[in-house]
Amino acid sequence: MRDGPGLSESIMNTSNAPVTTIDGGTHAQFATGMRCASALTIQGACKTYKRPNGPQFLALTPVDAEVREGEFVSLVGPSGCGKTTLLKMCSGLMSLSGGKIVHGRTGQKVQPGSYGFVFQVPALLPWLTVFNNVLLPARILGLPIKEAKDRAALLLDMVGLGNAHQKRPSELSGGMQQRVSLARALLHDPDLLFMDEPFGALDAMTRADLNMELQRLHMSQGKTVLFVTHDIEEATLLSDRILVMSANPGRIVADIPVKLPRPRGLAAKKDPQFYAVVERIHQLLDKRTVGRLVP
Amino acid sequence: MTTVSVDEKSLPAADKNHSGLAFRIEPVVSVALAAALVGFLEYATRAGWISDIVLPRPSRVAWVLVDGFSTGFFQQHIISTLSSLALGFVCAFLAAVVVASVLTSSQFLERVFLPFIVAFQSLPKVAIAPLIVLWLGFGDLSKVTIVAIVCFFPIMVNTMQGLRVRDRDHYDLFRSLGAKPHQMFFRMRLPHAVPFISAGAQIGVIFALIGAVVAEFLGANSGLGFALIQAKAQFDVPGVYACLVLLMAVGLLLHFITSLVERRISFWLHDQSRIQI
Repeated sequence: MRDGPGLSESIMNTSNAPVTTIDGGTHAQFATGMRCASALTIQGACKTYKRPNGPQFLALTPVDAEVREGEFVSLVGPSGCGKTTLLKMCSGLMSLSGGKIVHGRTGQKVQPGSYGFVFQVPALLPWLTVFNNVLLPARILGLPIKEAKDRAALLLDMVGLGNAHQKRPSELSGGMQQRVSLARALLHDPDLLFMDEPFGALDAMTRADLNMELQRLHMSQGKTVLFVTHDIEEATLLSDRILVMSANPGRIVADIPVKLPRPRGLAAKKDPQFYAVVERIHQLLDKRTVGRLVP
Repeated sequence: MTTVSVDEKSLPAADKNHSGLAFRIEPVVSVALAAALVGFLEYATRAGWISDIVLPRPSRVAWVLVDGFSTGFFQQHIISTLSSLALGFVCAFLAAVVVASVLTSSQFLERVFLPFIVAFQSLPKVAIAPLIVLWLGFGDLSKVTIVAIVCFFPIMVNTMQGLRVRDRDHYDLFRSLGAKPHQMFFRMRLPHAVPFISAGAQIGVIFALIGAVVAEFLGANSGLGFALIQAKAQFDVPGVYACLVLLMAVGLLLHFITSLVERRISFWLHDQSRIQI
C-alpha cells in the first residue's frame, strides 16, 4: 500500500496551472496542490427525464467542469440540484442525455471497476464477513486473491477495524459499516474515488472522525476524489475545490477554491478563510440564510 | 488508529439474553398440556361420552401403532411416503430455483410468463392429481409427479421474490465494479434469495406431504395415505387415527429438518433480527 508522509509530500505543490474561479480571481496554485493532468473532463453533460405526458424534465442543464488528478472536489447544493446525478453520470452508473464525460488520461469513458464508489449507505453484503466484503472487488475484478487479502487486511487496519475481520456487518455500528465500505472502495487501489454523501447518515462525532480519516487518505495516497455532500462545512474542510450547484434546473453556479493549508484539523474551522468560503457558499445557495448561520 | 470510537465490548454483552442454556418452562407446559388432553380423551372414551367411531381410545391407537411397527407394516408405508416425497420435493426444488432464475434474468421473460404463473398458482394443484394418475398410472411415478407439482410453485414464487434485489445500492455497487451478469447472480442475487428459497422450501415441504397423501388416496399401493384408506375401508378407526398420528409426526419431522437447514443457511438474517430485537 502506498502510504506514509513521503508520498504525500511529493504529490503536493506540483500544480501551477492558473485557475479562474467564479469570484474573479486567478490563483497560480492551491495551498494543497495537485497534478496538472485532468482526471475527469465534463463537457456539456446533462440529464433529462421523459415525463409520461408533458415536456421533458431537465434534471441537470449542460454542465462543464474539470477535476484534476489528485484533487478533492466537492459537489454541494440543495436536494434536487442534480449533484448525485452528476456523480453517477461521472461514474457511468447513470447514462448521459447529452454531452460527454471522459477520463482525463485515457480520453475514454470512465470504466467500471477503475474507480471506487462509496454510497450514502454502506451497502455491505450481509451474508459476507467484513473481510470478505472488503475483498469483493477483487473477486469481481478477478484480481490475484492472495495480494488482495493482504491489502484488505491493511485497509481494515487503516480504517481501524483490524480486529473485526470475521464479524458480520450486522454486528457493526453504522459508522463502522461505512468504514468497511470505504476500505472496500479502496481495495483495487483506484485513482478515482466517487463518494455520494458517504457520511450523511452518521452522527456528528463519527462523521468528524471519518472526515479526518478521509483527508489523511487523500493526502497520503493522492486519490482524486469527487465528493457529494449537502454539508457546506464538511465540503470546505475536505475540498480543494467546491462546485456549488443549484436546483430548478440543476446547474453549477460557482467553482470555489479552498486554499486552506492541509492537514486541516478542527482548528481550520476557526480560520477566517474557512468562514469566508462557508459564507460565500451560503450566499450562493440561499441569500436568506446568510448572517443567521454564519457568525 | 485514534478513531476507533465504538466500544466493541458492548456487542457480545447483548448476547447474554440469548443464552441457549437457560431453562425454559414453555416446552414443559406444552408437553403437560398434550398429556392432559390425551388423558382426558382416554377417560372420555372409556366413560362412553364419545362413540368409538368418532374417536377411538388413545390407548387403542397406541396399541395399533405398536403392533404396526412391530410387524414392519408402518415402516414400509412411512418409507414409501417419505421416499416419494423426498424425490418429488428435490426435483421440484431444483426445477423451481432454475425456472425462477431464468424468469428473473430478463424483464421480458418475467412479464411474458407472469400471467401463466399467476394462473397456475390460483389453480388448486391437487385438482390436477386425478389427471396425473390417468397419465402416469397408479404407482410411484405419479405420486412423485404430484408431489413435485404441488410444491413447485411456493418454492418458485418465493425464489423469484428473493432474486429480485430491490437494494439499488447493492446493484450500483456491482455495476460500479463492472460485474458481469453471472457475477451479479452468484455473488448478489442468489445469496440474497437464500432466505426466500428456504422459506419457500418450508412451505413447499408441507405442501409436498399433502400432495403425497392425495396421490396415495387416488391410487397407490403403498404409503401412509394408502394405509389410511385401507383402514377406513375396514372400519378400522384406530388404524385411521394411527395413520393420522404418523402423518403428523412426519410433518413435524419435515418442518424440523427444514427449519434447521434454514437456520444454517440464512444465518445472517437471524443475526440481523437478533440485533434488531
